[in-house]
Amino acid sequence: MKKLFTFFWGLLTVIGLQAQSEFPVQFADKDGNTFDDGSTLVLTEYEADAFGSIEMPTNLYVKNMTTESVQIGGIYTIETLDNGLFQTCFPENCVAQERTGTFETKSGTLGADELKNMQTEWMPMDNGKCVVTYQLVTYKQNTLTKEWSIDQHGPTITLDFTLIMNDIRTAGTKVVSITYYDLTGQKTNRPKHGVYLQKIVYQDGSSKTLKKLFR
Amino acid sequence: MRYITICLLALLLNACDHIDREDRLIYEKPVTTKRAVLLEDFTGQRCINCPKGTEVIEQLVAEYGDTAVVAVSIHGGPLGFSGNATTLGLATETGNEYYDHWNLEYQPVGLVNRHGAVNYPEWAAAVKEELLKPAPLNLRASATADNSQALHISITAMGTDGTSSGKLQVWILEDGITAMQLMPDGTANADYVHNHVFRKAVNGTWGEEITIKEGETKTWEYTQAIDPAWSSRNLSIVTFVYNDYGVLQAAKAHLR
Repeated sequence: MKKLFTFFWGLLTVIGLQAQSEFPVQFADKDGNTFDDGSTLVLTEYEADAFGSIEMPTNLYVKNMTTESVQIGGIYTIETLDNGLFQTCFPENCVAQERTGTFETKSGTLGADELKNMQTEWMPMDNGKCVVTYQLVTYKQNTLTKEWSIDQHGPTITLDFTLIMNDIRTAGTKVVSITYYDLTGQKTNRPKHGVYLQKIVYQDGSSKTLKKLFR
Repeated sequence: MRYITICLLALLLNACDHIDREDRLIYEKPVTTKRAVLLEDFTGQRCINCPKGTEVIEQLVAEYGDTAVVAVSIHGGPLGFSGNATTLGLATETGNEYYDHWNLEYQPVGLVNRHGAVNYPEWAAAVKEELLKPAPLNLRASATADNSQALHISITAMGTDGTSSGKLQVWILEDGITAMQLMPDGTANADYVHNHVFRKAVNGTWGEEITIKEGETKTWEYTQAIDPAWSSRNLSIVTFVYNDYGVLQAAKAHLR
């Protein structure tokens, strides 16, 4: 009996995995290489955004594997959020959460064969962790009310962010300004690709200059 | 028989007496002008999809005009940016209060005549629907600047259908602000031009109570100091009357 149960459990798992791989949309990297269902992305790289804050991008994309447009969205559970905001701009709107919990994005259309950047990131305020499980879903439209509701649940990915920055001061020492200079010493508000000098001025009057690579 | 005929003729002739216009009992309803629609766009400089909402607004304004579609970009919420030593921010405390009050959860998101949150792909349909509804009052706004020191604002309301009760709100907007904006392709645009940006609520965050009867005309006057950060030539005034059932009428006037 135990063997029979194990056999059916294994069979269901295989069917489940097969179903996920046939799901019309999949998580992917920028080149369109798909991630297996249940994958975990370990994210430790950070960069400065245009507003002088730190962000940890996922560079996560969603790929439409079909030749038809699909109405999609996501359900995500923020399991750990030590500080800052978890932001996702997928598929059409941007949402920033500052607490743990389970949330649903609005739905939107992904064109045939389209590869869309999820524009999803952690915007930390300090060293710490942020762990989010993200699941893709498809939507169907009620023909009478025209409202969209979830049709099928698809693959899941876990985003495991860890920020360890030596130049973040202890809590209470706030950053007053972050200014960027290129290697010729010219001040810029808009760092592009390349190496820049980042000058951080703290509330206590101290400052620190770091060399940053923008990719 | 002759006497009866004479009496009837006398009665008929008497009935044709002239009655002054003021003494007539027939009521002439005030003329209603077209309804303007208030579109509050809750946006943010950190919101990469918000420029898509702005594109929808530009299309609506091009189609109907900026006095029929009164668009206001309210910067705030978690993706709003208040500014720092190096970068200009457009979010305000009042904008954040509005975002929280309406329990908004994503951006860009709009309120079309304050009938609940509307996602930007549906703004055009919602605006079209509201434009067809009758308005129970007319609103007019005008504003002049006093040597770039102060704004003198005049709002006139005229009741056109029954008695209208609600709150009168007066806002200051600014066009043509160049400030950082994250774009849908993930880049940051430091030269992005922000239009119809909410700057200040002149008569309190939630306006002031008013009641106006059909045929009645009321005027309100305000003086507002011009913030040195504002460009006075790009300012405009938005006014609207709202209650629990939504916005009754709105109007916009550029600074003269």
